[in-house]
Amino acid sequence: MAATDGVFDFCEARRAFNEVIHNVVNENTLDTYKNFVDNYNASESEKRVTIDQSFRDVLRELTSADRGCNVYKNFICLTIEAVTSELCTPTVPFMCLTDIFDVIPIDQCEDMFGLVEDKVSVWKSQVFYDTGKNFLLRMCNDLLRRLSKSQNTVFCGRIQLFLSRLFPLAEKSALNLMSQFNLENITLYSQIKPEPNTEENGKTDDKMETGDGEIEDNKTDTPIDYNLYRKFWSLQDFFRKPGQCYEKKFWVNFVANSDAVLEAFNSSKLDDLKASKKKIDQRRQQEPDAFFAKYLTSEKLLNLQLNDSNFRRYVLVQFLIIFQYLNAPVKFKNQASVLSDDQSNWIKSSTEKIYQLIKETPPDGEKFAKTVEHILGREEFWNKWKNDACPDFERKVSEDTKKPQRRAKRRRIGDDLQASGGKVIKMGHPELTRLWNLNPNNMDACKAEERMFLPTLEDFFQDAIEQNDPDAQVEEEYKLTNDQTFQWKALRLLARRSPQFFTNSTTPAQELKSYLNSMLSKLAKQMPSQQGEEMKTDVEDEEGIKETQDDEDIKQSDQGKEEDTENKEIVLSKKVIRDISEKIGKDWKKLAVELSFEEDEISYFMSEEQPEVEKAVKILTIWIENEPEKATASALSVALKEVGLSDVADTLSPPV
Amino acid sequence: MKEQNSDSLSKRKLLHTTVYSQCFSPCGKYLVAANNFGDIAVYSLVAALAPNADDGTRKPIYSFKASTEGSIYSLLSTETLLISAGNGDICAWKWSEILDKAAKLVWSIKVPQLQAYTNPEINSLALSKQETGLQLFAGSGDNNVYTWDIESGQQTNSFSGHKDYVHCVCTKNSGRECVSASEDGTVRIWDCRVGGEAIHVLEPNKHDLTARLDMGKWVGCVTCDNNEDWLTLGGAPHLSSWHLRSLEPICIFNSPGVTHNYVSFYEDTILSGGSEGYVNHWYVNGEVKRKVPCSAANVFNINVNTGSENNKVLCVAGSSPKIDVCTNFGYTAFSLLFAL
Repeated sequence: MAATDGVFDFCEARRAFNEVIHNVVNENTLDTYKNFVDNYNASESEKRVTIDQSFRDVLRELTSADRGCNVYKNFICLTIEAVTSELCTPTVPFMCLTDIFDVIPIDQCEDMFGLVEDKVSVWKSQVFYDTGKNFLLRMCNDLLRRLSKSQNTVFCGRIQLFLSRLFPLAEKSALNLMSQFNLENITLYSQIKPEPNTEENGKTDDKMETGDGEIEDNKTDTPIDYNLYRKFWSLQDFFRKPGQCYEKKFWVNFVANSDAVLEAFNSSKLDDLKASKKKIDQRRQQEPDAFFAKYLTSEKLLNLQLNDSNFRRYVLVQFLIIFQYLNAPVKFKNQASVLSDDQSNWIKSSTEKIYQLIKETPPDGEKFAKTVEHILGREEFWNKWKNDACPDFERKVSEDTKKPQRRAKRRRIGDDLQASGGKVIKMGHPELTRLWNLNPNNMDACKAEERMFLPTLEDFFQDAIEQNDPDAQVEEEYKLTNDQTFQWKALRLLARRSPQFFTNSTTPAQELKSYLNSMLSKLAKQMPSQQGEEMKTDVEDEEGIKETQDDEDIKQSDQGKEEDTENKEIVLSKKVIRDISEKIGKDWKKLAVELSFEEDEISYFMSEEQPEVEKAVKILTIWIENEPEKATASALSVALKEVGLSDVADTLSPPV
Repeated sequence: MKEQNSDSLSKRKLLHTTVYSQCFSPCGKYLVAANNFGDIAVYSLVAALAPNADDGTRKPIYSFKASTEGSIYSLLSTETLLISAGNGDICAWKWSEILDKAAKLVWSIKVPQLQAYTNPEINSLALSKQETGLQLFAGSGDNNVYTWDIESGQQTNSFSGHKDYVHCVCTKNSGRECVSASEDGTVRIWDCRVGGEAIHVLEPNKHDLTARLDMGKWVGCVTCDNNEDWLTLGGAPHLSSWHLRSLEPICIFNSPGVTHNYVSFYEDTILSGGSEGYVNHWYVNGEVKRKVPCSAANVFNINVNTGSENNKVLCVAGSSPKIDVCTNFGYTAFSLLFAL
């Protein structure tokens, strides 16, 4: 069996391989085959080609011998094994399958297809998928073309199911991308009105004679409502081509017919005979649903159809589908295909009616209605997916893996305040900072002298007392005490400042003016300017005593503070300064800005010829000297953090 | 000017038209209806049911005045005659002449006037075929039920006992007995051969099951089923079925707030219509089969054309000039117009 050297004889090889494969088929094992292939003297590619061809040849012989489905199935399994052991190209099973399906009759096809379905997992595996999916698709399409939708519905369904399992969810090849409608699906019904027979009727009845103009009896058994019949089936034309509905003329027809049909459905409620039986019997098995590919439109059937629950459901669901289409934004629709407000309103009200009718259809109307609603909801989602050009469903791994930079934490004012020992607050803006730092301590600011608006007794009453003095000889009507505003202010001030106000006097209440005059005279006696310098000195002494007391208080608080700062913070000694400067190095400029040095100061420092470290030392020292109160270690560390020298700042922080 | 007047007059007349009764021709091809003005209209069912029917076929092909004294409340058909009764005499017309569109009165029976200056109307007619011939039963406004023999025209019997006018009569036991329902709230069963007192008196307003005293006592309609076991009556009391052996109400048909003017048995269901714009179909056990809306607000008559297979329709007449025709009894297919 060894080929001659040099030229590869295809035919010879083929024949040889065929024999072997036949043996393999009979024995149902690939081992001998493996050995044979390995030993055969030819190049890989030559062998490959021959193998593929010989597989197909053998299959042809098998099918022409009509060996039966089981044999074919085994053969395919063998080819799959061969692929997995790398004895032939992956296309071989697919080619063989295609060949088989092309030559065997339909009932055997159904059988074989069972094998295809079983091997879905194999087809989806890495080795087979890429090569095989097109083959499989083509094969299935060929099969579908061959089959009749009404005769072999189950088989068609199986093929479709298989395809849906084989391909990923976002596969576009089976999509009706343009949302086109099957315009050929025309429903025929008798539209032509039969001509009335006006021929003379020869026969006479005993009871009556037929008058002229009378119409021959139809040979129908039951009376037929032709009106409804025509309206009903005309609807199918609208369902077939929903685009018509956008035109005014057709729309009017559609609305009229739909209303008539829905009205008929509404009046003619279906009896729930099945349901009542179910209550008595045990729960029976669900009867298989009737399915038919096309409507039967004979007039005589209309009555029966109206009474049939399934038929009614079909028609109502058709309505819902067309309503959804008319409302939905589809990318491929015309610009002019938009509903007016009236139309949308009518659609909305009809939709509600229809759902009500569906819920009433026995059996399980409610469940059916819910299912339909759910499915239509999913349909909207798919529509949107199509409009977005069918994006893939797999989630992509995020490419942005850079860690976000560590942002500097926002500094809280409270921390700042603590850091500067309660002296400096940085408001984030120089002007605000300046304003705030005029007096950081709110309480003190409020107590400041400038804010004392209440005048002293002396100031206020000075003029009035002078007037009261009989020596001044001011006339009554010109005295300040006549002025109502003065009177009021005077009373207020007395209440605030003078203890005399509250003395309990037994004299009955006086008129305001005279009361004030008497108060004034009393005040005059107490006033230092009137009494002379004795009181003044007293007051001065008092004030002096007060002042010294205040000073002492302040000193004490200062000392307390200093002690505090000593305890809590690291003193910015020279050594510390040097350490820091070494670490800061060239960045002293930034720090200088942060420490509120002026532009010209910084440029002055820059112009000096010194190593950076020295400059850093210098600015730090100057900073401490300039603002001894504010130049604390915490303030410095805060400034450093702001500049970006966080690690330096960390060294400053006191050990916990 | 005159034409305008007559035009608006006819329109207004149309608004006020009430169709009290309807009847099918023996051949089953025609429907005859009578209204409150005393007119009788004839419609061709075949034409109206044809595929190319239009509005013209829904109008009467012929109409004539049957009574000059007022409404016609009841129509009945024998094999050759159409009998009408209402305000005025009982009149009979020949079918052949009617369909020839030249109806002539064949005979008329005057209702006995028991007192001077009264002219009792006939509210209801019933027919029974006896060995002796055709007996006509009439329930009258003077609280009596009269019977005549049609061939001879003689009054054969009169049943007194009701305290108020008779709404409806029907025969049972192949004409040996007749049942009458009256405004006084009783249903009496009479023996036709004996006469005299009623053999049974049913009072629905005395039974808890059926009484609806807030609606009144009157019984508006009564009918018997074919097997003679059941009697169904309705009106102010609930529409109810009574067992004739025990004379007890067995089941009621629940229609809250609705009084019934007409009831009849049809196949295995009961048809009823009354003071609401629906035709009710009931199962004999009292459950609702369906409620079909109709154009009249008050239904006075429901008739099924049992005489013809081809034109088996259900016609509903009431306080409207439209007579609804149902081919599939579940919904109204179209309406005939009682316009003259």
